[in-house]
Amino acid sequence: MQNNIPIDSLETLVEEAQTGNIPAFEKIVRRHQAYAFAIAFRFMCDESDAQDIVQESFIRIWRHLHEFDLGMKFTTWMYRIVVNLCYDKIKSNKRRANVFTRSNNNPFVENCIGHIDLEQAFSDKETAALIRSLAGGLSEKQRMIFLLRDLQDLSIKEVSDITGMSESAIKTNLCYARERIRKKLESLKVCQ
Amino acid sequence: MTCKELQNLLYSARIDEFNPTDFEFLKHHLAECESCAAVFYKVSNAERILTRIKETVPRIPDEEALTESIIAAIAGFKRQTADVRSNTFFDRLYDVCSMKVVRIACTLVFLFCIISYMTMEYNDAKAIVGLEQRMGNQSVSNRAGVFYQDMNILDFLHGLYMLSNGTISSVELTKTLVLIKKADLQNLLKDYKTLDEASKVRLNAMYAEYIKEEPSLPFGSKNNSVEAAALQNEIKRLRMELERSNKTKERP
Repeated sequence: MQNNIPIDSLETLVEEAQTGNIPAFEKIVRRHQAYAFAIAFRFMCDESDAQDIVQESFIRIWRHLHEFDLGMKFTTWMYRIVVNLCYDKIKSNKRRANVFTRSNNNPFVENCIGHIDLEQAFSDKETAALIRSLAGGLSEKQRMIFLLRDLQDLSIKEVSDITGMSESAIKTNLCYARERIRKKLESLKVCQ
Repeated sequence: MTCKELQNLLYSARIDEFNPTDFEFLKHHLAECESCAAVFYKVSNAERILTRIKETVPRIPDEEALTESIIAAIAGFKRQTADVRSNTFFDRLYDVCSMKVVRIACTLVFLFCIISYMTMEYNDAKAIVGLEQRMGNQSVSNRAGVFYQDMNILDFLHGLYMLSNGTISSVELTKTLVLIKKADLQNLLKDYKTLDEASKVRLNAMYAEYIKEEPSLPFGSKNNSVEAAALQNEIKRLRMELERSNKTKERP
């Protein structure tokens, strides 16, 4: 596939892609799919679901790229699409939603966490098991806010733009989520 | 700040988010308070694990394959750029309909139509209720008669039928028709002397019909029967006058 975009700034790539330039869009995909995957994976805790969401997100971005306002931050717009698709996936996948609600007492997860070596880097599966366990009892929005703010390191303003919630609501939900997660970590006895 | 407040803050906020005053308080307080120091230790450990989770960035198993599948999927779509979209009439129509102003205008027009229709219906219902209250004790025929002045006979019969909620009998309808004829006859007789020949012939025909349907009178009302009897006498007198007039004409 030809790939002759002279300047590689994100704005230029987006402008090029808006005119239907597929190579420019391919560059955007290559540059941002890892971030999109990280959010989707941390939220869904499932590799396959996360890949589906990433694919669907970029397809949706391509189809609505002509509506994108160049004055807006592209990554915020992209994250918003990913987040919405995550919510859709959760809603459509009741089995998975049930896993989340049951995860507080999921013996598999507890067992998995018991074997995690905190002195070494986690594998993706261990991370998924930890997040799934810690997020149990949190609402989808609280989980997403915690994920975007504390795991993706986005600012409160960006989280607000992505989720469409007010900054004060973000802070309230974030405090609640952090408290629950930290106390959960205590109860799992991985902090001692 | 109390110990409880500090511990709540430790659980719900990150250390780097503490404002300078709280941070200073934390530094001094931890040296004095074992309970808060224990909480701080637990929270720090939890934070360490969360940091480790954050550092573990999930990796796409096959990035190249995912990129290719995305590009293959979008290549199948029609290029939906602004230029291409504005090429066809339907695309332009879609663009216009997508405009916020147009959507708001359509909503307002729709609401206006709905409100107008509801208002009309409400006024009609109100008028009917008023009419019903005014004529609650009247017979169906009399109620229908109110409308007769400004209506033709078909409208009148339809109104009569609707007022009776579809329960009117054929006898009641006949009575009503006779009443109409009587009213017509009265009007006719009022100006009898100025009538032309054709009208006089019509008067005779109406009278004959009136007499024929007379058995169904007097409509259950005393006033009606008196009125009918007076009318009958008047008509008889007029008929005699008419016959005398005809005989005079027949003489050579």
